[in-house]
Amino acid sequence: MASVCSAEETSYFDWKGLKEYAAKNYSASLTYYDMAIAQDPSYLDAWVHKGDALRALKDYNGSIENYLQALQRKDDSAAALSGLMEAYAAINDYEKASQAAARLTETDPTRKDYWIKEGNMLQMLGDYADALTRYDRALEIDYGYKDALYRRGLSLLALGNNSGALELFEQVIALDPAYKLAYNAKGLALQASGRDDEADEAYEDAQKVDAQWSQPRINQMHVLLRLGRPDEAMSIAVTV
Amino acid sequence: MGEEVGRYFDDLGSKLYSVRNYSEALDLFNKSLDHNSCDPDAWVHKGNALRALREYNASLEFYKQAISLDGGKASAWIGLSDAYSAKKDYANASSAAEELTQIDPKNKGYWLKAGTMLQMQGNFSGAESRLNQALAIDPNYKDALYRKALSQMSANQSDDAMELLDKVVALDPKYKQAYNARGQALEMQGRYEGALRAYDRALQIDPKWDLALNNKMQALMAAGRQKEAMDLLLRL
Repeated sequence: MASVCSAEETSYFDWKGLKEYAAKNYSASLTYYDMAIAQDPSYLDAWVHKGDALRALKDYNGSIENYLQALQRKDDSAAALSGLMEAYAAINDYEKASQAAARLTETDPTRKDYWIKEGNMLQMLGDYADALTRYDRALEIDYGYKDALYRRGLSLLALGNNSGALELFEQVIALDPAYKLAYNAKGLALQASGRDDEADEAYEDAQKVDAQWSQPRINQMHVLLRLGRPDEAMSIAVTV
Repeated sequence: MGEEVGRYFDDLGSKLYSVRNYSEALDLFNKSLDHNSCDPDAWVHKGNALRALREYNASLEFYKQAISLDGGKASAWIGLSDAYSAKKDYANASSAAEELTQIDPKNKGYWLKAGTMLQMQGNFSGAESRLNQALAIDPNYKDALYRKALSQMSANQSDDAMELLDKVVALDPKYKQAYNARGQALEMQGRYEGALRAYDRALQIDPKWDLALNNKMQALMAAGRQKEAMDLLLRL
């Protein structure tokens, strides 16, 4: 009976911590997670949640330690691996983030979001070719997965396959006409193909989706410079 | 007596304003105006506090009140120009800046403001004449040199622009905007590797400057270095 009560208390502390976390009281949530861990160090969720809270507080090294503690208790904990990947990415250690992402896809290869995460980490490492294979796996699960299509397009663009990239960005736009990143990337693919007039239009389209977003404005400024329209280019340059 | 009490509250409000306590400063400027509504400074100060609180339309009213009391009140015209500019109403911002140049034609800052507001409207040649007036007062006025370079770039005079930008960085090696503009001028000439070096100089000064990072990404694309461009795009 005593052990049942203890387990209940542990999950209660963890639950209290989650309530504080949901209210963005991250420091307060840590107190409860510590109580849960002190009572039952084998309570996996508390380690993961403590890692999440520390990550929210930007204590990335602290969060990594806690995710690793969770993984010592269950080496295929998806929540811990996901948190670990995010924490490593936050400190720009994409090598380790990528390793964590690879272990995450192993835990459940049917999850398209795990494949895209792995692909994204590989892109951050500059490994665009390997990233492609991960996006392909995500797209095998969901061929209309727009984030994977977009990221696949970026890989193709990095590898110099401008027409392939363009096709994918247009596919994303057809699926979601408000996907501003795809218009911007479409502009880049068109520029890389020497189709500056069309690139100008793509950047205009991106601004129709988000008029406050400076990236397509800056890109449009460059395309206007190349099109020999410096007055229009500088009109943008002074307002970004 | 009313005037003195008004000045007292205005002074207190200005102290709070200087420590960025704009809401409480506003209360004191209101009290000042309750005691002396004929003091243009108090109207200007209230306008400034409202502008700091991003209540631009309200601030405009108070600057106009100050101007109705004293048409030559430069601080009111400055506030008016800045408030219109914050609203992206560059035509009115420009008109207010022009008034300033009439009030004190020897003030280089007013010419710069007039030139800058014209540039914001896309009137680069009009801007250049104002910037020349500023430079006639101070030939080493780096902000005016920089702005004049932008006007020259708009007229496709990238060599002249680069000469001015070189002068700016000689005067102030930390002037990141000048390196950035130099990169754009080099891009105009198709000199992408040179442009990359210019953007890198800007980024040495401010490594997190999105504009220079985006410009560098563009220069990398133009130089056919697409992988490096994508590396940068992912970090923007």
